[in-house]
Parts: sequence; C-alpha cells; structure tokens
Amino acid sequence: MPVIRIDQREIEADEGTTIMQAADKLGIFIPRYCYHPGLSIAGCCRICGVEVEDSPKLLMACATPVKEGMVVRTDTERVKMGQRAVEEFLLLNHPLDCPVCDQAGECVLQDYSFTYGFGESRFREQKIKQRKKDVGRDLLLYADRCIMCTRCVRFAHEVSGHDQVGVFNRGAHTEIGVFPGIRIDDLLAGNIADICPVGAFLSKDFLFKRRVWELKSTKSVCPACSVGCSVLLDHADGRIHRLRPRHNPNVNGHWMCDIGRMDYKMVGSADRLKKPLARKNGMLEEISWSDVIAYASGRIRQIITRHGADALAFVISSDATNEEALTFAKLAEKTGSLQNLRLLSGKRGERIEFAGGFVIESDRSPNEHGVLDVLKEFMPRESQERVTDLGSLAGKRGLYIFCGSHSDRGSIQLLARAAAAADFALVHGNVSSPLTEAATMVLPGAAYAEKEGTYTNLRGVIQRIHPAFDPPGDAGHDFDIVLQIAGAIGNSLPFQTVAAASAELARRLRGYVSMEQTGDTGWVNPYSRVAGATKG
Amino acid sequence: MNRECTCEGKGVNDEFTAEQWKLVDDVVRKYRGKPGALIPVLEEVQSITGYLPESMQRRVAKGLGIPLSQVYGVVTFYSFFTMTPRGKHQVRVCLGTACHVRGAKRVLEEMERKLGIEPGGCTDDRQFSLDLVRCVGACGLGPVVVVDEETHKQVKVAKLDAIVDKYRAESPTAEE
Repeated sequence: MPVIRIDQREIEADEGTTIMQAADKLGIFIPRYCYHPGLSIAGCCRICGVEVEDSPKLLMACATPVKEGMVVRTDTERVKMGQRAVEEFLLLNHPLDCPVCDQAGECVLQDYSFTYGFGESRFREQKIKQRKKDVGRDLLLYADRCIMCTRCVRFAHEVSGHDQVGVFNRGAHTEIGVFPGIRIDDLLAGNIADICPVGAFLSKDFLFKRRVWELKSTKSVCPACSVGCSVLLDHADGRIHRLRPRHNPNVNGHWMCDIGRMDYKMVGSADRLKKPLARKNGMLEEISWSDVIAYASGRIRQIITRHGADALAFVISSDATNEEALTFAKLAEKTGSLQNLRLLSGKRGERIEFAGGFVIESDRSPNEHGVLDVLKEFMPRESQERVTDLGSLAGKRGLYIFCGSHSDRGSIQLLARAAAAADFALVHGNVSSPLTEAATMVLPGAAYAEKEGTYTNLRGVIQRIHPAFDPPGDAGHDFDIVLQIAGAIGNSLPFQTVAAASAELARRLRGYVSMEQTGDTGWVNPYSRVAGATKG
Repeated sequence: MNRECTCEGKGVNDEFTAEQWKLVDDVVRKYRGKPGALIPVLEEVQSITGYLPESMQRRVAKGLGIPLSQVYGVVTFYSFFTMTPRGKHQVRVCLGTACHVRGAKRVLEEMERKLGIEPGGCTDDRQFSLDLVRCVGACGLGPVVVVDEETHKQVKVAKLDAIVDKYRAESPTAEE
C-alpha cells in the first residue's frame, strides 16, 4: 500500500483511495463542496486544491489518487491563495442573504467564507438575480445561491435514478434546474436538500420554521418502514422540526426516504393520547394513572380467577421496542397466557427499490422482526404459527393490546371488533384509533422519539433509539406502564429498567446484544434470518 | 412557459405539420442507441423545425431514451440551438471591431427598427429573425450583414430597405 506524506505526517493509504480520504484518516481537514462520500467524484468545485511535490499546479485532493512517495502540503500560501480565489468566485453572484436563508448555520459556503475566504469582494458589477422556484413536493430551488457543486445532479442520476436535475445554460449564466414542467417528486427528493451544501435546495416543510442552531439533535431510528434508517431527530421545545439521515453503512448509507422524513408529524399530532381513559356509562372519560392501573389489574385478575388464563389474550404491535416486547411477553408468561400472545403487524405498502440500491420495504413499521424474535422465544412451539392470527382471539374475555401508530388498519378493525365484544379490553397506544374507541380503558404511551430501547430491522440489524423529550401531557413510557400493570397484578418482573431488560434480551436471544453494545451504527445479528444490509 | 405540460411531446401544439413530426422521428430513429448522438440529432431536428421548443425536446429525449435534463442542458448550452422560433430568413448583423468602426451599430439599430424586433427575436409573421455576430471574417467588406447564406458588403442604412424587401419578395407573407 502506498505510503504518502501529508503536511509532514506519514500515512499508509489504501490502494486506489484519494488524497482527501488519506487526509481525513489523518484528521487533516481539506475543504470540500462537490465531494460527497455517497456520490461519485466530480472535482468541479476546486476548493480542495492541494500542493503536491513535482506537480506544477494545485491538484484536487478529492480526485487525485494516492501514489507511492507522494508529498502533499495542505497549508502553504499557494493552497490558501487557491482557496481564497475559489471563495471569491463562488460569491460573485451569491446574494449573501444569509439572514433570511434557512441554511445559515449549517451552510458550508458560509463556514468556508469565514475560514478560507477573502473577507471582501472586488466584484462591482450587477449580480445575476433569480426567483425561487418550486421544483417538487418538498423542494424549493433558490438558484442564485447555488455554487454549482452538482451534488444534486449526481444524486438524481446515481441514487434516485430519475435524472431530472441538470445543468443548464453556460458561463456565468450556468444554473442547476429541472426541465420546465418537471417536478422532483420521488421519495428520495428530501435528500437533495440535505446534501446541498448551500441554501439552494431547501425543504418546504422546514422552511422558516427554526434557525438550525436552536435545534438539538437526538440519534434515533426511523420507524416508517422495516429498513430502520439511522436518523437524527432535530428538535426544539419538545417538538421535532425535521428528520435527517445519519450515516450508517450497516443500514441506510447516507440517505433516507420522504415517507420516513415526514413521519415525525405523528409525534406532535393532535391525535396523540395524553390522559388515561376509562369507560364510564359507555363513554371514555379521563382518569388518574393510579386509578387506571388499579382498575385494569383488578379486571385482569378477575378474568383469570373466573375464566382461567386462557380467557386472556395479549397483542403487541410491531411499533414496540425489543425491550417493551420482552416485558410484555414476561407479563403474558406470568399470567399463564403465552399461547394467546399475538403480533399486531405493521402497515403494508409497495416495496420500492431505487437505482442506487436504496430500498423502502413493504413492511411500514419499525420492529416486526424484533418483536417476533422476542415472542417466539417465549411462546410455546405449537402456538407459534398462530402468532399473527388475530382472528383466533375472537371470544376471549380479556384483551391487553399494545397498539402502535404504524399498525395495519385491517388488523386494527379486527381487534376493535374483538375488543368491543370482550368483557374487558385494555388498549395501550400513542394515537387514538378505532381500537382506542372500542377499549374499556386506554393507556397513553410514548412515540418512538420519546423512548429508549432497540429496534431490529428486517435484516436483523439491532439499533438503539434515544428519547428526545418527554411524552406529551400525562402520557407515560410504555415500558414502565407494562411494568406497573405487571406489578399491580402481583407479578413483578425481574428487571426494572430498560437497560436491564436489554441485558436480559442479550442473554436470552441468539445473536442479540444489549443496547449499550449496539453503538451508533447498530449491531448486525449474525444469526439473522435475512443477512446483508441495504446499500445507500 | 407552460409548466403543466405532461404531453411527452405528442401533439403539443399544431405548430409543426405531421410531415415535420415524421421527419423528426426518422432522425431520432436513425441515431437511436448510438453514443454521443444527441448533438447531431438536435442539429438535424432544428434544421427541420427551425427551433427546439419544449415539445420537440421531449420528443427527442423520449425517442433517444435519454434524460430530458440532458437534452435541455445541451440545448441551453450551445448558442447554435434555440428555443425561440426562427424566421424564414436569418439576418445576422456583424458587430466585430472592423464593422463597428465603420458604423455597424447604426446599421443594427436601423435593422431593429425596420423589422420591429430586437436581436434574438423573430418577426410575428416568422419571416425574419435577427441576431448579432462578432466578426464573420470578412472585415475588409464591413459593415457586413449576413442574410441566410448570403453576405452583404459595405451595408449602409440606406441600403437596408432594398435588402429586406428582396427577401420578403422571395417568400410572400401569405404563404401556407
């Protein structure tokens, strides 16, 4: 492998890699606009020019492969002159409207102008002005802020595959755009606003909502399909304002889809359950937590003593974390109703695969794989094949349903009928649904952004989610709610915290690790039924 | 510009005759599947239709199986290609240095007034379009006005009427 020197530091670089990659490894930062690790190399922004011994001109670090004995300097006066010149050129027609630009604060042009720029412009002529253009469901194009890095063009070609973004006109009039009448409406469009290093492509959904420096980012996992893209929840004051993909080579690469991007709206929706409810004279009325736990556990005990444990059924949705599934299964085990443990499957949609290999799976819920792993671990072998057969619960006297916001509608209707017919139906969820309408008692739970735990994706990658803020109103943490119910029935569980439950999972389930061990990019279960990860 | 257009280039307007569409399709078919065909195709198509409106670009992109953005990129890049209609006769006034010092600017202004259009434009009857060029390599003949393939030398403002009328007479407005 070639050994090269960058700023008098030696590194053995991998064959075929570039100066940029070698410098990144050494922790020497070379500025870049057009370079994106998820896209092909363009070498067109010219900011990454470095001095290489025996080369008469600056070479582009992003596009120059390493060669044995190469001597690279990134800090000489010539390099700095090059950076200043590029910065000055890029700002010639730039409107400098940072105060009204959403990108300000995370704008690469802004940061580099500060670090590498000239400080003032010698350009005295008229700047080319352009109106903003509406180019897609969630995309605005401010072409005059563009620096022509062509990341969006390469993304449209290589990742989305629709090829609708192009470079038009010539010289100083060159601009990024779409053919008149064309709109970028595919399900990866949101990534274009993410990868745009300046404020040229912006999301309509996030437009003028918040300045980015007011946002806190929490690492999480997208719950909108069983791929489980690693994401960052950008939130402020207990509200999510946007989702961004988080790079994870095990799962989603650099990208995420727009279904997941918009899924955060459920977290702050008006349909969220905020208070425990109990049916009085046929109407659901608000009730305190202590009362609802006491009444619910009393009714469950009553059903067991009067009709036996087989009259009781437990249903958990594929929205639950692995740890929640574990407590739920433990509860069913303690009451002796494991044969009546069921999975409430997620919504189904079309499986969509993009040119670059990114996939949106047909299972549009986060954790069907993980919940099934847990349920099958506990359920008796002979009843395992009925784990998704909700029809077999008709006639059960008591139901405890852990519902989710990504559950299959048909199944919810089916369960709602079963709940209405049962003596007692305890429904635990985070949004109101036909199922909560049919319940005897309703327990308000948390959404994915408010809780801790792990999800297992379709390919067996176990990823951790972190809480960004507390659930709204009096809503509680699902894990604690199940623990409390179990305790009130008289069967306290052997663990009291999510971390302890996670450790228990790692002990019991083949290939599982505890949530501390998953790291930021998840743990790939080597025994998973489907191996391999989606590219992105 | 019609931003709602989703016609895929079929019968978007009655600007072109069925025969012209057929010729265009023939050109596209001839080059289909050949790498680097876009520029020659656009050249031939423009010689048939006179200009390359959105509908024509859609037709070419669909026919060649290449992205619309690529066709649009090439059309907007080269000044040879035009998205505005061209007249039957192309009037090019030279504004090169030699022509300029011999009064080309006045010639251009008079031509603009006479045709009622600015450089880049086309008369309503689609008879003339006007462009300016920077030197046609005939500096000894300046000021030069090139109409179609014909070069007119030492053009004075007084001669413009005769030139314009000559071409107008060739193709009466009332044709078609």
